[in-house]
Amino acid sequence: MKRSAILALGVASLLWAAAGSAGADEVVIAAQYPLSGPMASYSGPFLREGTEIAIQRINETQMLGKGRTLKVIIEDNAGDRNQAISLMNRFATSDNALAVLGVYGSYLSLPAAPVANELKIPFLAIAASPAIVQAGPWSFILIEQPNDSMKLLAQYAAERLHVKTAALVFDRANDASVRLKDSFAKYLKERGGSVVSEDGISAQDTNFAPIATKIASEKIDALFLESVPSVAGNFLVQVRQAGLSPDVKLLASGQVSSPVFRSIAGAAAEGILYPADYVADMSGEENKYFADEYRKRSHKDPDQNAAWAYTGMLLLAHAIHDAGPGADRAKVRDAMAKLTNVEVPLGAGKFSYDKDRMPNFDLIMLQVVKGVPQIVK
Amino acid sequence: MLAQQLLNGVVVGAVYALFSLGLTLVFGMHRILNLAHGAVFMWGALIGYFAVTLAGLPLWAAFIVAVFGAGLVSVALELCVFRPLRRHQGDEFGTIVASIGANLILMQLAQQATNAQTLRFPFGIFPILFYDIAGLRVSLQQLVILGAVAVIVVALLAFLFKTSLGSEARAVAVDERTSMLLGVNPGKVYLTSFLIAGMLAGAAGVILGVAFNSVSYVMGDAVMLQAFVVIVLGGLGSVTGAVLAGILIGMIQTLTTAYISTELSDAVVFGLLFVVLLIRPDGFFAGLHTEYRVA
Repeated sequence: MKRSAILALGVASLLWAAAGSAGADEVVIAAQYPLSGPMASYSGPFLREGTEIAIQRINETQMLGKGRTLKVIIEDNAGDRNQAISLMNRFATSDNALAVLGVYGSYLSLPAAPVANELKIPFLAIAASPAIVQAGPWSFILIEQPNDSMKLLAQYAAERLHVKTAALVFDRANDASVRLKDSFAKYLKERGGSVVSEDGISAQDTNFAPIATKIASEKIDALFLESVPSVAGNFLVQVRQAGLSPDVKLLASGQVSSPVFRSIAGAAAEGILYPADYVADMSGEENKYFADEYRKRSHKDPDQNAAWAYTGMLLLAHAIHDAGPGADRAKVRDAMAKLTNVEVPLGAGKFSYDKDRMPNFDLIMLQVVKGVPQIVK
Repeated sequence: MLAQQLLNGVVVGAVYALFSLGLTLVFGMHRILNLAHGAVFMWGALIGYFAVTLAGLPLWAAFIVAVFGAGLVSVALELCVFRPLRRHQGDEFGTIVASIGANLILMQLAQQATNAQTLRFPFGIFPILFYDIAGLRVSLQQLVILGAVAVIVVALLAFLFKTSLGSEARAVAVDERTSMLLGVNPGKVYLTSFLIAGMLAGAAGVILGVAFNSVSYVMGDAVMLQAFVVIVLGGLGSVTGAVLAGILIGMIQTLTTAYISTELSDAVVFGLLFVVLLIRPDGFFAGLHTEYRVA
């Protein structure tokens, strides 16, 4: 009698504990970012901050519905492809997450996308490569196509800055970087411009003196730069030191919107123009909440990475809401594909997926003036 | 532009030479292939960085602190890794494996100390000044690097060939047992050579950290690879050979990057190593200035 009473008590407490820890109306999603390793300096901590602010926002406004809360498991993939794949497996099988956000960048997201499709878990990659979407119906991307941003940049360079000749520098080991560079070259040529030189660099390189000297000696109207923020900043310092003319216009992809780029490049970044998904000064209620909260926590303006993570969480929350209470992964996936005009901090403030599950929001053009990015009209 | 690129190559090559001198010194004298030499170089750069950013020292003072700091790290390697192995009569393979382990430990300590981040010396820590010399755009930084490397190499040669401790070191390199019979203390010689090797690596670390605007816990790996080519090309144990080979490698790497392809620079350098090993296994500069060999 005594033994069965103890057993009953034990079972009851286990059930209670299980109900308490999972939370009857708590939805679990997972995120993985490069919180350590070489990519961490410009990505991981910003992504985590954006994610945490989004969770606070989602739960404060009861975005999932009354009484339903969102919980996120954030893990470090260290910028390593194998770890990204392992975490994707763990999130889908052990943690029973309803969806996954992150990985960060096409380099890490591309190998993780087939795994997400195999395990049938919705995966929103903070990346731009269409190959991630092509991996299957379970994978989505958050960032607009290279074509869109590069078309805007090339158009601005040719028509407003009258750029006729350009040197291109890009990250040769990164699929997305090569696409961005090719897109810029294509659109510049369509507008009568020409490419004088193309030089691939690597995220591990530190000595840029040979390429910098070569570019400084070329007759060019503009230098286009596409690499991770820390490397782009370092390259710009070295190309300035090599004697690049101050008349040469500096153009870049949105990667340079990170404060890390400006802190490394310093005065060398002055005047650089780039299309961006985000700037802290944009109007809109969603951006106001996000930017104010970020400043309160970090005592500085949020960057593009934080805005991406915040937006990603909002999109997942909207999809979970639209899928209805008790929805499974398939319903969340279907709801993701139908998201339209979701208010977000990115671009002009409205996010939609088109029929091919490609993201749409209007980009903005920024220029660094006296060390601060400003919107170019 | 060719002359400008050659200058770039000479500058980076001079730093490779500085780094490689420590490696070739220890190998030439003691037949120890210290694969943790890259980690000592990296710690030199880190100590310099922390001396500037945490202690607020000016760059010249941070450089001196880093040089001696890296020297002490190298001495610690000798005392904690190589000396115990010699006492237990460990073979060359065991010594190499132990140095790989020491390298990993030093790198992981640096990873913790830097939170795996790439660090940058404060912007403008070195005056950005340029001079027009014979049509070349030469920076103050390049002049200081070349001057510092030249002074260090001359000081090393003077120590090895003009001091009694240098003579003792070379005697141990030729025959340790005989030199002991003549009253030389090999333990002191080992400590001295590791100290000097570490100081050379530390100097190279700070110079590259400032010049390339980048300090990270993995920075030693790439330089170690270049150093292998330098010491094989220069002839093991040859001071003059290491300097010439370092400068040659720097120029080849720079010209390949500038005129052929960035992707091919390592392939060209290691292709050259392969060819040299085939046609001159003792090194391309092995027969040059044999009086400046440590063994």
